[in-house]
Amino acid sequence: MRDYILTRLALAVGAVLGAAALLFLLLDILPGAGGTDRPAWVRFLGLFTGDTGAPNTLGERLAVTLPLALLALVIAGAVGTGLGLAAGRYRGMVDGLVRALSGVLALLPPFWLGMLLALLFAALLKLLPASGFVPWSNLPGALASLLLPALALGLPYAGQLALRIRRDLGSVAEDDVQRLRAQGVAASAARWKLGLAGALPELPQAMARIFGALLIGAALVESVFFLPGLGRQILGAAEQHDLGLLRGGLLLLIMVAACGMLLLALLRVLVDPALRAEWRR
Amino acid sequence: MTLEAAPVRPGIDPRIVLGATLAVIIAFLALVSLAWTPHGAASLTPLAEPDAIHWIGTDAIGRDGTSVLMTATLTTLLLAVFGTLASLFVGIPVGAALAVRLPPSRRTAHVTSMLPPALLIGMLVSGLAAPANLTLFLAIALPGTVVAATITRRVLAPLWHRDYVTAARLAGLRPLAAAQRHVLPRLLPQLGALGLELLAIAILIEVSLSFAGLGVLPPGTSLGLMLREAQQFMAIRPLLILVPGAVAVVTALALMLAATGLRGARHGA
Repeated sequence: MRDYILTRLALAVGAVLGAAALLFLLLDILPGAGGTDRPAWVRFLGLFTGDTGAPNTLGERLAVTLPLALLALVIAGAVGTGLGLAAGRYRGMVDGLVRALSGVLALLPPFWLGMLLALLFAALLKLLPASGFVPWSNLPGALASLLLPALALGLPYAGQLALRIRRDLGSVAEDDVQRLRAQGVAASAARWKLGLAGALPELPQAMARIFGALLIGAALVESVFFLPGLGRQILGAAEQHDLGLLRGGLLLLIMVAACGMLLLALLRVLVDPALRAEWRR
Repeated sequence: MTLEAAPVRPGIDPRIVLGATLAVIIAFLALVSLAWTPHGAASLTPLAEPDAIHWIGTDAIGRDGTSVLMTATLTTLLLAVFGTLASLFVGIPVGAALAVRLPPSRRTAHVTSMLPPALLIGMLVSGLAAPANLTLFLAIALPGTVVAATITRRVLAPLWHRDYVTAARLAGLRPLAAAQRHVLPRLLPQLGALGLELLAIAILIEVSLSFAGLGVLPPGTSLGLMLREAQQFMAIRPLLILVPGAVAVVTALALMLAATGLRGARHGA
């Protein structure tokens, strides 16, 4: 368990430092970046404090993107786990349906799904707002304006997660099934039990990867729904070739992604008996 | 210990036929745009309603939507093919070397994991004012190479350590000859599937990046750019959003379906 935690920590720190170094090399040493009047080390440290050499709104932008990614994570986790477990439990028709649905969902670009949802729920049914963001002071309004974007962002990853859980549930060693059957457990119950025991410890790391992908992928969905998020600001900075803002925004995005992925991956300690047994020894 | 018999070559999977047929039809229609499109580049009324002559109406600058769609599909396919070929040319040899030299690894990869790095690379490279084609090429080829190497290593390692391969080498066959006779026939369908999957994701990367303004820019055309340009007219001309997106998604799905069939997986991806 200590090895696992240390590895995860080292990966997170390494990812952030590596990204910072790469961004600094590409976007700061090259001519055209803002703030060249200050010494290089001040600019490098400024990357971590959000100081881009010009006034910026990265912090309040993150206050839209992070909740959006978290809401999408909940949707992806709930729908994906539900679909995956259903497919693993009821083989046959349910399994076939889930596989087809998840296969299609997993390949839908979130931004296009967002357009479809906006057409359906906002333009046709007039149920939810199609674009814009209500400030957080109006909590129900803010959540309502994040609901469609979060669905668009989360559902494709729900499809990917369902396929993964379904595959993990199916990969059970025949020897283990035989052993449980010898103890008097029915074959189907044995498969289900062993499948769950194999799939559950993999879930936190799968969720961690999904969180990283959601945070980065949020940019496109934010442009579809005109949300004032961090991703959309980064896209704007890339378009304007505003390298200072691009550098600061990208590193903030990567730091938040690395922290979230670290926390989610550490949840494995709670659900993996092998890791806990290692600790007690 | 039992020696494993060399496998029998399976028949053609229906999923390959369906997926390949769809993909070939779409690629053919895209290629036709080089010689002929229904209305060429004629300037018509902007944002005209769809009718029997202009199937999905006209776009914001008055081009016939169907004609633009054919040209755009070709651009998207070409960009995706170039990026995919580069990934395969570098990734497969690297993966093969790793599989033969290093002990087997449990590390695996899925092609969908290419999308977040591709988006980051797109933001970075496009921010540096690189040309659109270079941005898209790097965004597809860099993550694609890593995925191709990882999957090649993962697929090749167990095939290389099969009993019948070891037996052939013990009988005096040189490594390359053993590989050609006993490994390649089972490896090729897997590599073909890998190529198709990479191509499917490369199409989605082009569409996403160009939509975000990081890829193809006007006056060029691509499926992603069509979506970007039609976004503000989405509520009045939904077909200009639905059709280009559907072409990209259906092409990607068809390629993935063919890949699943080629891989011979009984239980899906």
